[in-house]
Amino acid sequence: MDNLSKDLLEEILSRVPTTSLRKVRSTCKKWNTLSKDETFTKKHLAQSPPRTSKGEILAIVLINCSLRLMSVNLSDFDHPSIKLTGTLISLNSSDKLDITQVYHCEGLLLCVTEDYTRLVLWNPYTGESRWICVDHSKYAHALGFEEGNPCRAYKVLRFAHHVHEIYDVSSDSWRVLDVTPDWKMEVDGESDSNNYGVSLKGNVYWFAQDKEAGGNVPGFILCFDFTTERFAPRLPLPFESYFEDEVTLSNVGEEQLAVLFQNLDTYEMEFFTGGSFLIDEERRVVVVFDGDKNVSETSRNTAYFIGENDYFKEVDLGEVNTCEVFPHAFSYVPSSVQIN
Amino acid sequence: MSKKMIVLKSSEGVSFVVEEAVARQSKIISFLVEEFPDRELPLTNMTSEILRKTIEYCKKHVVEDDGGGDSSSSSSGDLKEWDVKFVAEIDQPRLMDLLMAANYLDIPSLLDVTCQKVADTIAACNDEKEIRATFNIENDFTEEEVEAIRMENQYPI
Repeated sequence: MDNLSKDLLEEILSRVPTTSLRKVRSTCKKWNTLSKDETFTKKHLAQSPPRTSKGEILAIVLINCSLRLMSVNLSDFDHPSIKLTGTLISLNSSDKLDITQVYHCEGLLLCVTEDYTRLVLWNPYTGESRWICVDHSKYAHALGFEEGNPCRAYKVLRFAHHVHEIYDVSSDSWRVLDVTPDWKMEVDGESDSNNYGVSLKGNVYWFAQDKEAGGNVPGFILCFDFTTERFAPRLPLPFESYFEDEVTLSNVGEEQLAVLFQNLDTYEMEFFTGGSFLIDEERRVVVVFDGDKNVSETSRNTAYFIGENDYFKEVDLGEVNTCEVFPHAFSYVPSSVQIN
Repeated sequence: MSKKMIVLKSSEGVSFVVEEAVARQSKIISFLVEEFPDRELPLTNMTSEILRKTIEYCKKHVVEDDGGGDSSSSSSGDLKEWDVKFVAEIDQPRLMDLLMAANYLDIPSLLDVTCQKVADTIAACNDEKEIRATFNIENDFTEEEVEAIRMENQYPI
């Protein structure tokens, strides 16, 4: 193995599946350096894409304060399944990190630790990470990047109680933004912090409601533009939703937003808005992640598959052991993007 | 018309008489037989054992242009299966030798199957210690570096 050229070694290691990269990097210096090289990561992603077959969605799911890579499989329509492909937290219990929030932007994640003292920007594929120490406060976050910059300038937006601040990855510093919200994103009377935005082409979108109208104005989509660092004008939804309707956003690929609408008067099962869903466009099925709805005091995490013609299936995701964190899922495509 | 044969000579000086079409799957040999016809080709960095394996692979994969020849009758599915069996029967050190031979002789399909087999072997190892033991790799990390890598790769999938 020692007398292999760099090219040959690259040829071999680029065929090792993504799930084995950790041990490859820990083998020796040469392998570690090589596997982080950008030419390698690009080649590897082309050579060993995560094995998603037809009807399969690769997703990252935050469950019980840990991140899991899961494969959601709808190829057997009558028996959809969700399998664990990998746990994104180190298996070593001593450095087990509890994650309470996770945000996603084209392969890059922003995680908030359970004690709200640290944020970590992290590309789970390349292993590159950047820790950001913050004061102990509960914020909602959003991760995005500036448009038109070939070398992506990532930024983090955080907000709570009318405070909006932006963090520049390049300068490693926070700035206060002058924002006076005339909207609210409250969820079940909770603070904004449970409302996950959805990232699309570097900007982030939320479902929001008018702050003053008291439910008389339909809800709308709110967008934060990371290039101008401003909230863009309200975007109307294709339907009217009021006060207690449940509206959840998700994305379809990297180009489109999807909205899950639950009308208060008609729904029989209410999903938590702060939850999340995945979409299988071809089969026209949404997969909603939430607690078990069959009992009032939920003790299980569950995925619901809902589609046309009364298609409805449930998949149990195991016991809830941290009641404060609801399952949150998004579809994931590994990427070699670099943080800096 | 009788088939054109060429002679390949291993590092031990053993001669292998091979149909030219078989040997021409190596881009290097293909080039050499055009430049130096009627000569035997010494492959001084290949043992007889590895050369024999390489020829076995090439024989199986040869596609004859002039029709006839039952060697081209294998379907691609069968070939794939055959490839898997072929590399499965070779032990680790010899697999590496075969991989390097495929690289040296420039036989893309053989390089592909051997690289894939090595990658599969790496993936099948439980941890980095097993990888090092399997491939006889020295752990050249210091304690601090091990810690740094562990921190960096706290999450990788």
